[in-house]
Amino acid sequence: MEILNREPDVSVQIGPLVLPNPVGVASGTFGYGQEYQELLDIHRLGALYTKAVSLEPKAGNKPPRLVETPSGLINSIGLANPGLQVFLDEKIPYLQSLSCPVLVNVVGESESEYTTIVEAIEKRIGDYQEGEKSPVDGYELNLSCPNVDKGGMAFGTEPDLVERITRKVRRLTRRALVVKLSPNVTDIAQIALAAEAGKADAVSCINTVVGMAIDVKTCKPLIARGIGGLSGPAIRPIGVACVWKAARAVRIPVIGLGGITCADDALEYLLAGASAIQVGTAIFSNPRAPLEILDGIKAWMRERNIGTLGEIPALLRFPS
Amino acid sequence: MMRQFNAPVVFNQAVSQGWKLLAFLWPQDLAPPIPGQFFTFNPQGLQAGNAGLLRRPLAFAFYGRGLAFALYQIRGKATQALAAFAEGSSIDVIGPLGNSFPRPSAGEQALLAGGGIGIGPLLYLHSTFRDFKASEGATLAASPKASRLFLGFRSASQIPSFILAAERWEAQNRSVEGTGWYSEPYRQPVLAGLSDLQHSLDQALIATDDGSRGFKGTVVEALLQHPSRNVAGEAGVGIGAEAGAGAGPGVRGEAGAGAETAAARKRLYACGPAPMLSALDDLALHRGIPAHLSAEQWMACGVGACQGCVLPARAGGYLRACADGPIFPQGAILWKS
Ligand SMILES: Cc1cc2nc3c(=O)[nH]c(=O)nc-3n(C[C@H](O)[C@H](O)[C@H](O)COP(=O)(O)OP(=O)(O)OC[C@H]3O[C@@H](n4cnc5c(N)ncnc54)[C@H](O)[C@@H]3O)c2cc1C
Ligand SMILES: Cc1cc2nc3c(=O)[nH]c(=O)nc-3n(C[C@H](O)[C@H](O)[C@H](O)COP(=O)(O)O)c2cc1C
Ligand code: FES
Repeated sequence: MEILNREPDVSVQIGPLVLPNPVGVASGTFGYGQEYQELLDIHRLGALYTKAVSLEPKAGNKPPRLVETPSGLINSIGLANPGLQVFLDEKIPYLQSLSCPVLVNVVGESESEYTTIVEAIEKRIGDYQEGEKSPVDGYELNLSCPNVDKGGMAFGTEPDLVERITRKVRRLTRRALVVKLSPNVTDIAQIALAAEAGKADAVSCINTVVGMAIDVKTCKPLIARGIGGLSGPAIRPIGVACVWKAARAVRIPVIGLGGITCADDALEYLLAGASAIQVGTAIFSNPRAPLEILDGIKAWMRERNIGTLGEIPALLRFPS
Repeated sequence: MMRQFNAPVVFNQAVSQGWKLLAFLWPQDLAPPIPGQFFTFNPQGLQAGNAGLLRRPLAFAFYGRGLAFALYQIRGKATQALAAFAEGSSIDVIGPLGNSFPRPSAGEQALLAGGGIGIGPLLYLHSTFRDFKASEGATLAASPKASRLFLGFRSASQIPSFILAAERWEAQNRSVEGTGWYSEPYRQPVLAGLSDLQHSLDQALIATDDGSRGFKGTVVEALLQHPSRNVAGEAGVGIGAEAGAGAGPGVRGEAGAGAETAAARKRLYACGPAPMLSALDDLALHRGIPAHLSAEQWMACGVGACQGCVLPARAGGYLRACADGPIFPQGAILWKS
């Protein structure tokens, strides 16, 4: 087969937003960017999904908050974040300096918190001039975080609620709107359909899987709260299956994540139907992973003479 | 400024039962680490299979002549993988990370207390004081009065010998002299680093839990009961009880209340298990001694992004061990919660 001379086109359309490439960094694993600026070229990322922003500052859960498990990590950070006001005053100026697209991960304890946060951010970025790079290019609604007693979990498991919140936020912004799905549900396709009905531009899946680990010497759970969210390679097969189910159910793009550490892992998701991917826990062990994954995806496309990302899902073949 | 880099390992040898010392090349264009700072290494790069998903933090035990050193205890998968790592291959490092021990002011006496895996950073701090007179080349800075180093071990078998390690390393490598990593320009810097580390260790007051060497008991007990007059002929070297209950903050016994002299001012530095830090935090509060305590917590990112490594703050909320610390001033952390 003749090898393409030209670079494959790796851009991805998410509603009104064009991502320059499919590799984003997942919410909660990359702060608001600044912490990692000395370790990788953030400008080359396909997208930066910020740490969750809540209306009020959140101190988070009692430590220990982390434990490593086979091929995985359980965390119970408790959505610790400085809150909307600090985000507006201190994080936005830095985010504006980035040339990669930025999506703000939004979390609320009530429907009105979601809308209040998005409204406030829209108001603030309205101040930026036409032609200037916007500090925020879209939103990712976190309806699925399993960590907070009163938070995400309930919203993300009920299709009606998902549709309603999505619709309400949709009315407030023309920017890209992504709804992040939890795997801790009976049928993820139903939730994806609800987000689509609410006029989301895309869904992202998956958030962490509920997990627990116990120290048998001390008979204590290894994280203070007992249960937490499992991430890393341990959950990759769950994520790939969720993406496959969601992508078959909806027409809007599906963004895949969960346990992606290398280009092959990312390609599994793209073959399962994902339009783009995010890298989370793998950044902790190798901050350069997202850019190495991007290079690997391009090499794989060149080798197979694939011109655009959109051609990849059709390559998935089942044994006849 | 931090950086991720692949560093050639030039030394990775046992120094006591279950403990090894690592030395790797530091990039010439990167600011050298200072005492109290740490780095993370990626255990995945070391061993095939699931050696560990997360990077592991280790404190710097010494820096000199272009080499960074870490003293580590072999505990689980990641440190086992590190221990098996051959000299001459590369290790994936992110550093330098975290804040550092503030320098004592002129005339202050520095009391250094290290226990268990907290020994490395205090050896490094000690080596930067002017009363440290070892081989040339170590970074010398502000001069505390007669600094004193207290180190705690479970038993004598855990006390490192850097000199024996150097001898074994030389013997091992004699047959291959002039090749690979055991060659100039690396041989001399390694040996000089080992000799500086040994020099600090030799000046330390050793405490062992089982009494098999030195003081029988914990570092905290050693610090409290140290017969202070016999060190440098000067009173008040430990935080000894002779100050007498009721004496004001920082006031030494024989000087009498109100006669706080420059020589009597102390500053405490500590790294070790949480119960030790908790006891020293209380002690420093009651004696009015400024203290700097190096904390440990499970880490994921190590750079301040994930909020995973927090400790409860006395002022409410939480502080990140990796980015707000690892060194915290007296009173900042609720050690018992
Ligand atoms: C800032 C900092 C500096 C450190 N400096 C040194 C050093 O100079 N020398 C040294 O030997 N060790 C040091 N440590 C501890 C070292 O990181 C752990 O011993 C190491 O991560 C253990 O990994 P492992 O896979 O070998 O063991 P694991 O199997 O992961 O754990 C072995 C045991 O260590 C405990 N443990 C693991 N990681 C941590 C951690 N981060 N904090 C507290 N307990 C932990 C586990 O609960 C378990 O009991 C430091 C830790 C921190 C946070
Ligand atoms: C430490 C940590 C913090 C996280 N915080 C958030 C968050 O604030 N909002 C969110 O939507 N997801 C959060 N997540 C979930 C990740 O974005 C991602 O969905 C999940 O970790 C699976 O991907 P991975 O296996 O690549 O990490 C967090 C994950 C981790 C490990
Ligand atoms: S380890 Fe991530 S914030 Fe400290």
